[in-house]
Amino acid sequence: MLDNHSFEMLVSAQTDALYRVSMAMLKNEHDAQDAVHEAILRAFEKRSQLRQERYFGAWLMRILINECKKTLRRRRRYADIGDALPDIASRDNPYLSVEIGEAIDRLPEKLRLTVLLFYVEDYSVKDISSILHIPDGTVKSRLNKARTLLREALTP
Amino acid sequence: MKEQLKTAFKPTPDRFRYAVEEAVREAQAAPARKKHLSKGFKIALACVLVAALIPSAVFGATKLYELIAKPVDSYGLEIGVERKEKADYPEYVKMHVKTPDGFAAMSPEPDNMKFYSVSASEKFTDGFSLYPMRFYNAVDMKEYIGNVESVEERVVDGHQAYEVRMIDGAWSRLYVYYEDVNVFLLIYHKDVTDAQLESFVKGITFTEGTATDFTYLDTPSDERPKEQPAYTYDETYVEHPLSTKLTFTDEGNRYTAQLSNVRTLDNISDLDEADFASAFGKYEIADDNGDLNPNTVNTIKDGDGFDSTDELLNTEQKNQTLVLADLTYTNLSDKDIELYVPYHINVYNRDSKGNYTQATIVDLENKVYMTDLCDGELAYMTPHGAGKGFCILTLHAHETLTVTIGSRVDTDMLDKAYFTLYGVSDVVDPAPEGEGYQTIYLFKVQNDA
Repeated sequence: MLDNHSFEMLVSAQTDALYRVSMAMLKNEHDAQDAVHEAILRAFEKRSQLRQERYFGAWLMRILINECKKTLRRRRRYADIGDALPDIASRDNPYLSVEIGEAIDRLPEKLRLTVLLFYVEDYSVKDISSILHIPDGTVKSRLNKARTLLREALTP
Repeated sequence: MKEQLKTAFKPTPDRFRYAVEEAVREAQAAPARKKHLSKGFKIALACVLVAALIPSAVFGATKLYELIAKPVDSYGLEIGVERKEKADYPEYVKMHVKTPDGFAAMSPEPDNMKFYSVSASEKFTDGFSLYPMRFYNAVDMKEYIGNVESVEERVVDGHQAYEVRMIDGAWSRLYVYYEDVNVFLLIYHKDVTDAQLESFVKGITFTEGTATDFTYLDTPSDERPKEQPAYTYDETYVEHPLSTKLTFTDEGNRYTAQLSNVRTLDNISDLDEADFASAFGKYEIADDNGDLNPNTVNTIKDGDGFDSTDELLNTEQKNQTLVLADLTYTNLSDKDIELYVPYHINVYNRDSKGNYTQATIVDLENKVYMTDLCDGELAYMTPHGAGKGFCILTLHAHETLTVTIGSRVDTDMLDKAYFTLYGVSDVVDPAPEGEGYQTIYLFKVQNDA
């Protein structure tokens, strides 16, 4: 089982990915921090279930995505009582370029997440299939669809 | 497009990094709710070479302090500083580290000094990380370390140092003392050669810092870790009869879910491979004949790292059973709902007062736990979310849909198995609304009658 220091090192190595994925999903740093916090607690608690250290990144990402989904579902529930969801113009915008940020944000959540994991976080199709619990073919078709949409959005 | 996307994000803010580090600290400080301990263990007596055996000349003629290591009980170690003369060192120091050949720095942050081998397939499975400390004034401060396999005094780049190897292959620790600046530097390292370690230490220097530009020096953990209290999450367990119909909401739309028709399988040859989650492939959890593979379970007595180490009491192969159940959803609304199936199976002991505890705990008082007991995650589902997440389905307006779900359970634990649902604020009936996931809904797999 991972010792404390190894756990800390592996989480450290994932900090940027945790930030990007949680922000791309939740678009709000406060919620993103909460989701990451909960994901780290759960990962530490469940670390004995991780059979091979080399899968730590994908494993932690799967836990984080589940936590983000929980937050989204809570938000949906309260959306009808007036909580507006933050948009790209909010202060928590994680993107350097508003143009690219808007293009990414306009992608449906499933495509956005797949694109992010593949192009930004460098996960393989097989890894993403495991993280998102979807078949390899679905990952590829999502990437294909997302590429088309992004190309359309970013072409002057 | 890859480059465009890769450079689209702002750097992670420092406050976010800090929040991640805080979360790690919190996780490590909290005793585990469901304790899982390391598998094997090996014991070696700590061997301490007293500092007196090393000629003081190697540390310089004007030696102010000396690093002293002493064994504590059978497996612990304390490292402290003995003052020889009046202290005189800069209040603020700045640490500079040269990135060693073949390694890369974790981030450009100057205080985040972690280096991993560029040839490793994953970051931070090996390399170095630095933790600078200082024994402020009080020379009786000590660093306490548990689970020590061996300790050896060394001289590294002219500095007094202790190499501490840990039980169970955890990252080794090199404590290096920079007496001219009174810095006690802990270098964690893993899978590096002595030459790489020596070269790394040679690349570390200190200069005098200022009140606005300095390296933060922490204080050593100067108390032997105390017995940690039993940790309890603020969770409420609510058990319902299996047939209970729960009502959920999704964006204001309501739907119901009801479990029924529980059955078990030891052989899964008749089930379609495509209906297993990718993480639990049919032929990863079963052999070619479809017989479920056994699960290896260890029973371990927790050690405190000083008087005792983790002790493996028993290892056994546990037969697995796939528990299948039908889950009937009904959409009560006029809109399609994207349905997330959140059920899994967990094993609990229920006492006469109706309190639930994890069945992995064998003897709480004596800290005996079972590890890797019952996976319980949703391994099988039909229909499943083709083209979506495995656990995500579309429930059309006013549609009734029956889904068959399956999770593996250790066969001898079937009578303690519960379909488990972490309340995620979606369940609104019949249980009262609580603090989201702090409420845990249980449905016993086997009828007591």
